[in-house]
Amino acid sequence: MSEQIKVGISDYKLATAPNQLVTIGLGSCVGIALYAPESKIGALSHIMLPDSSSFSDTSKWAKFANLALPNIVNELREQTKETKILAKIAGGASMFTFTNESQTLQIGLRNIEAVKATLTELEIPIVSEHVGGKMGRSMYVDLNDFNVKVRMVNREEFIL
Amino acid sequence: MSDKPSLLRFDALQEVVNIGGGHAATALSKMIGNKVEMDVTFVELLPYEKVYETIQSDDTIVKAVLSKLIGREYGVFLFVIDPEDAEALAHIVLPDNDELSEGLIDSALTELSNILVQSFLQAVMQLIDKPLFASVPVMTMDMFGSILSSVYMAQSQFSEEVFIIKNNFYSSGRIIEGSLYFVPKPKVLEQLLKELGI
Repeated sequence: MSEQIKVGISDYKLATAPNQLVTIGLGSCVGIALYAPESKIGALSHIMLPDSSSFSDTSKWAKFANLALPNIVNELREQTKETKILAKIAGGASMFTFTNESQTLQIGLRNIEAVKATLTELEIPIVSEHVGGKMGRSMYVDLNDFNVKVRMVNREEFIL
Repeated sequence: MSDKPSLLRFDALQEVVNIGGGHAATALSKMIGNKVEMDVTFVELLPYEKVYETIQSDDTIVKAVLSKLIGREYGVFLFVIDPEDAEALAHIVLPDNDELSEGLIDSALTELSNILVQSFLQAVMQLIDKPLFASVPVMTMDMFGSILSSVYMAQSQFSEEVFIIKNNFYSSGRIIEGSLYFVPKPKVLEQLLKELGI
């Protein structure tokens, strides 16, 4: 029996095949699915912010891309003894855009950039992505084969 | 919100939103020619998880209209409604059309939300004796979770707990339900209460 394990906002979970990791309602947040293909163990992280440097309280480290990803990758590498970890990412939308807003202020875009930069530093390839735009997304990560479904409202399901 | 407001301040805030909401309900009922009722104003600090458990599930598809306060950037208003209820509302304000296009429904909804926000602000302006202006509203249809979290984040609210401030409106006769949220920027509530002398 496979189980669906739900990951909330600013949180992450680790799980093993045949289970599924799910996160619902990504807006400007970014979901990062990580996978160790030999042991079929994966993680799903739902980050809210790109960078922790301007925050004094960083105890909720899973909220920040720059803290969450190195920690989770470490945990995954330790548990699986695999160095080659794969990533698929989705989210980082701007749900409402006012015409007078500059792009630099959009958290979604900054989240995408930070996730990509951190994964590059960790030497983790992004196999595929579905990011940006104006729509919310939900991610369904199948740990049997690292098939990741991205569901949106009034749009066809996208397979990462 | 870094510090939780005391009980008295909580009450004062609830009262302000209640007055604003009451004014908005009256304006809406004039507009749709039907009585509009309102629940007691909801003011509570909740973790996202609880919001999705108790208020609305994160994967519910909703229509949402966002209006920003401009000049004094206190925060934003977010009107949230079920797409079917939005259509029913549009039929009330546009009674001569049998079939309404999605575009017409959305513009009727945007205008209704605008009226709610403007009349809410009118009432609050009289209380704080300062002018308040809201932007032209923008609308989207998406998952409640995507919308709510993104709106709080855009107001620099990055906590796992969010301060939910909302009024629920119902139209009697036909059951149409919608919620108007006020999402403040950090420290704004303290500032508003100060202006009220509390």
